[in-house]
Amino acid sequence: MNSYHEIERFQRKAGQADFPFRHTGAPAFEHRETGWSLIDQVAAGVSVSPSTPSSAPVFKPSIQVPVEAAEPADTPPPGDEQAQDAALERFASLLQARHRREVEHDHPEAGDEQSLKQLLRRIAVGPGETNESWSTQC
Amino acid sequence: MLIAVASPKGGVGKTTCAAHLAYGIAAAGYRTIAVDFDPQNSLRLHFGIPLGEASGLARGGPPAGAWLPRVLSGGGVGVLPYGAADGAQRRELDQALQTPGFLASGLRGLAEEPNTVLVVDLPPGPSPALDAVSVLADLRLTLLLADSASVSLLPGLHDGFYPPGVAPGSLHRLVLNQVDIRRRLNREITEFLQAQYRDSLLATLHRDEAVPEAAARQISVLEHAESSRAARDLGMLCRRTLALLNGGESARYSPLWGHNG
Repeated sequence: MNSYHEIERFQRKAGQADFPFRHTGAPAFEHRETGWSLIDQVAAGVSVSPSTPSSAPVFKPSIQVPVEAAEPADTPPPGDEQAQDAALERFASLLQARHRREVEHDHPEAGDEQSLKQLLRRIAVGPGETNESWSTQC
Repeated sequence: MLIAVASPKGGVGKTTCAAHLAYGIAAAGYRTIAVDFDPQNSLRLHFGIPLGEASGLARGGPPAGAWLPRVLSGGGVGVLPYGAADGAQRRELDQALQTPGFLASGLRGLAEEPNTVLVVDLPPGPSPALDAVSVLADLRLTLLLADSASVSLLPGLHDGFYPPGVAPGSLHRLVLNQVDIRRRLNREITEFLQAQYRDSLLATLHRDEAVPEAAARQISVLEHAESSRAARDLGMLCRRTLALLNGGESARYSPLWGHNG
């Protein structure tokens, strides 16, 4: 780090006093918090005033991107909306029927009224073991 | 005297180099003004000018009269920033630069005082500013890195990058920046360029952390770390630049330039 004397000598050599130029106030680095003038200014929220006067025409890009774009939803493929709804219903009912068939096949005693918890226990302990032995393991 | 600092590609440290040329030449006692033609508007930041300062060459449209009222003072150097400009203002300035006499009369007004050196920072690649400034410059400095991208652009430097109107006798030199000899490719490209462009390679500037540190403090490396490698390299660049412009005579000495080179 240079001493004040060295800095002053540098400024004198650079002829700073000779310049009639407009001063922008105290050098930014004199007000530093972190020691890095630029970081301090950004952290302090320094912003440049808008360069476009309010009366001036605003140039907008030809492609507009919404600022708060929503997450893309599962977009149905193009087609007739009613037909899609019908297809969706059929698909859901097929899924339910398939699931019911699978459960009945693997666990014939598992009915619709059987709770999910019980079903999971059966799956976890495997065939041939009882709920009691499973509970002691836990 | 007018020094143009240009590069066919961005990110080579052109603005930093232009700022330090201005600092170094000012330290030698010349009245120095750094002029920014790059819309990034970052040259001013090297001279302690606040981030929020919006004024400049393009701000509010190109100057109709003298340019001096738009010049700011920073670290002993006059600084004419590009200014915070929107697209319309940038296009206006580009158009003005293509108008005969606009640039010449503006720069002449800045350099009316004797012993004035203008250091002009140009945007990367071809631009209306490059075309307009190149034909007026006493010295053109082209910044390059020791990488394959810069090497690939070398043939184009003499074939189309600078406009055909450049005076045949005007000076042109290369400056190789951010050299790090610990890296094999970097070292070998540096050696290649030093051998191939012996006469036109003005200076080799080594990579040094003092450079970004000084930029973050908005002061020069010569002030931030006067004993650093970067300060020595940049001092050498300033000395050789002034010697070149003074017809090979030894340039005025500044202790801030260091003792080597």
